[in-house]
Amino acid sequence: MINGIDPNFAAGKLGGSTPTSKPTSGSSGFADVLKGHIEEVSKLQQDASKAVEDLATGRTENVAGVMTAMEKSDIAFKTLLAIRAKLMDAYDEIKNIGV
Amino acid sequence: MFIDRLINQGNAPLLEQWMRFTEERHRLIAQNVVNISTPGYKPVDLDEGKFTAMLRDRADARRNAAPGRVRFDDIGGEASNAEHGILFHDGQNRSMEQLMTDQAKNALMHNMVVELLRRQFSSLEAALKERVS
Repeated sequence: MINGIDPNFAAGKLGGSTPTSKPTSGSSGFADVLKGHIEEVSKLQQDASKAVEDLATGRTENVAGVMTAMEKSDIAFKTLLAIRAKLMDAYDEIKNIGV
Repeated sequence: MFIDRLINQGNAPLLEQWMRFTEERHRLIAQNVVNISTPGYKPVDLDEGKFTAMLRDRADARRNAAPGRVRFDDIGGEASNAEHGILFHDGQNRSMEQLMTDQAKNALMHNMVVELLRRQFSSLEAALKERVS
């Protein structure tokens, strides 16, 4: 069964609601997303560091696992650096806009 | 002090000692190969098990200590006579196959440690440059 189109469906989005709607308490902002990613990269780096220590101290002989963990943390860190560089570029661009 | 902590953070000191160990072991293996026909010569080798045990103890001690307090500089391999192989009439227990196997294993390990250390320093370099290379 096909439902009819609600005439008030887009009314709120097109200007019916107040423009300064506050985010709800459950939603996460950009800062939270960035913080989460930084924590994730930090965790990957800690895991890689632990893997190398275990290999050096003879607790593990899983060379492939250690190399994979190192590569993962390296890629994650470089991704974070790239994001940071883009953000700084955007900030510079906004800074140079003439008022 | 700051530079010292920057360079010797993480696993860099461990890997550095490990690299020194493989380097020293390579030298001893080469010495054993050179003296393969010397009567009475006893091949000398470093005990990898003892070395990793010392490294493990020091790494455990570092976990509960202040940063930069526990050092790894004094850890090294202990040279001892290798007792494997058949004892020949000239007093040698030579085994070229064993030496070549040890040499290949040690070279692979050395290359791996160099690669791990290189990656660690390259991450640090990327952070300092603030750009992905």
